[in-house]
Amino acid sequence: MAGSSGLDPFDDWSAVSDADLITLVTQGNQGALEVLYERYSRAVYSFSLRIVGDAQVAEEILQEVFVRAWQQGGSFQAARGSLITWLLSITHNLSIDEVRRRKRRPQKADSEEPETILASLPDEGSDVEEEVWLSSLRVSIQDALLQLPAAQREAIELAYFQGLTQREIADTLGEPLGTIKTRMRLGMLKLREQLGPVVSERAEPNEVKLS
Amino acid sequence: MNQQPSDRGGFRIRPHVHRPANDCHMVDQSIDEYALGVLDAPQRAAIERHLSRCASCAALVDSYRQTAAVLALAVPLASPPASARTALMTRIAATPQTAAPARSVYAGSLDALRTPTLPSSLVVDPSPTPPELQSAWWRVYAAPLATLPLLLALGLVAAWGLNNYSQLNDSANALAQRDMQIARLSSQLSNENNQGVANLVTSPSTQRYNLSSEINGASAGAQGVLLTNAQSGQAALQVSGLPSGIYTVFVQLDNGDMVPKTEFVVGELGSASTMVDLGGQVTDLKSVHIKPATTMTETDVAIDQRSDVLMMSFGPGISGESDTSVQKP
Repeated sequence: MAGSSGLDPFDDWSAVSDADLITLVTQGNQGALEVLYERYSRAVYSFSLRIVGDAQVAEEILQEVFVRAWQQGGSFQAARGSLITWLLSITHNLSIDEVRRRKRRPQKADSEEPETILASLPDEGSDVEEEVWLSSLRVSIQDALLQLPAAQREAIELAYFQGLTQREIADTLGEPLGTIKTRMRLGMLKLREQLGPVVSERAEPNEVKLS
Repeated sequence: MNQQPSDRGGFRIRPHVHRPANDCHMVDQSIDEYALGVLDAPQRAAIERHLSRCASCAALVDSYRQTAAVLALAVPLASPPASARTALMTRIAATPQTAAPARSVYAGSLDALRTPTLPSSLVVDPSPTPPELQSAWWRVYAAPLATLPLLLALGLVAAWGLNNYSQLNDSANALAQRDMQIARLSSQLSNENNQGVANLVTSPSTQRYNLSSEINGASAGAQGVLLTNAQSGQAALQVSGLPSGIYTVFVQLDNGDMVPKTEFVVGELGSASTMVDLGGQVTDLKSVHIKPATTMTETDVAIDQRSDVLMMSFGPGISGESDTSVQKP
C-alpha cells in the first residue's frame, strides 16, 4: 500500500480524486501510483486477459499500462474522459497489438479461451468503494450488450475484444461486408443511446467522470 | 439521431453540408472501427488528421469512443498475482518520467538524514501539492506539530538523543541497502545492454544500417545506427545529435502496421543506445522510426502524427551512398 513507503503525507487516500491522483503521479509520487494500481489494476488486468487470453501476457501488459501512466500521466486529459477509460484505452491498444502480433506466429496448442481463464482465476474481491462502483457499471454495460440482437453484439465483440476488422469479421462469419458494417453501426448506435447515462454519470467517491 | 442510408450502404448519421464532404464521409464510414480500436495505423492517422480540422466530426467520434471505452468495464474482474505489484514498483523505481523531473525514490530517506531533529512523521514529499489537497496535509501535520514543544523538551533528555541516534543509524543502513540494490540493478541492466551489443557486433550475420533524419524532421543533424541480426531477432540502436528526452522506437511492418518496440532516454549529451527485440518481425520489416514519446494520448492515435526524428527504410527505395549495401534482413 501507499503508506508502506513512509513517504506519503496522506492518511486517507480514498479521499483523493482520480484527477489529483494522476497529478501526484506526474510529480513522481510513487505512493499515488500504488493507490492508482490498487484502484484499477484489476480492471486493467481483467480486460487485457479477456483480449489476450494469456495470464502472463496480461500481467506484462498490466505493468506496461502503469509504467505509461507513471511516465506520461501528464498527457491524460480529464476533459476527454475518465482516468479509468484512459487506462483501459491504453490497455486495449497494447492488448490488440499483442493479439495481432501473435496472429503472425504459431499459436500455443494449450492456449485457453479467455472466458475459461477468467472463470478459473480467483476474484479475491476488494473492500474499496471502487469495487462497488465498477460492479454497478458492469451490470449496466452487460445489460446494454445483452439487449442488442445477437448478430450485432457478436460483430461488436469480435471487433473490440478480438481486434478483428469489419473485413475480417465478414470473412470469419461468411457474411457480406455490408451486412457486418450495418450490424456494427446499428449496434453502436444502440449502445451509445443506452450507455449515454452511464457514460455521463459522475461517480463517487473519486469524482470519476466518464464524459 | 438523423439516420439516413448513405450512398455506400451504411448509415449517414448527420448531414454533411458545410464540411469537406469526402473526409467527413470517410469518418462516417469508419467511425465504428475507429472507436472500437481496430483500424490500422494509416487509417487511424487519416481520421485523426481530419478530426483535428473538423470539430463536429471530432465531437461525434469522441462520443463513440467513450461508448466503446466503457465496454471494457463489462469484463468480470479478476485479480492479478501479488507479484505483479512488486515487479511494477521495482520497474517504476528505475523508470524516469516524461512529464515531470523524476524524483528519487529515496528522497524521503535522504530528507530524514538531513533533518535528524524532527520525528519521521514530519518527513514529507517535497513536491508541490495541489491547493485542494492542502487540507490533507494538515491532517498529517496537526498531530506532530502539536507534540513539537513536548519533543523539544524531551530533547533535553539524553535518552531521546540516544534513541534518535539509533533511528538515524537504522535509516542510514536502510539507505545503504537500497543504494546497493540500485547499483546492482543498474550494473545488471548495463551489462545486459553491453553484452547484447557485443554479441551483435561480433556476429557475422549482423547487418548495419544508417538511420537518417527525416526530411522535415525536427532534429537536423541527428544520426543513428541500427545493428540487426536476423538469426537472434535482436537489434541494437545507437543515436546521437538528438534533443534530450524520451523517444520511442517503432517498426513498420510490410502490412503497414506501426508497432512500438521500446523507449529510450537521451540525456543532455544527445546520444543514447538501446537494445530492440525485433523477434519474428525482423523478417518483415519495412522501416524503423524514432519518434519523441512525449505526446502520447489515451488512444495512442496521435502517435502517427509525431514527426520522425530519425528513420530508416528497408527495401528498394533506399538511396544514398551509405545505404547502397543495405538489404532487407
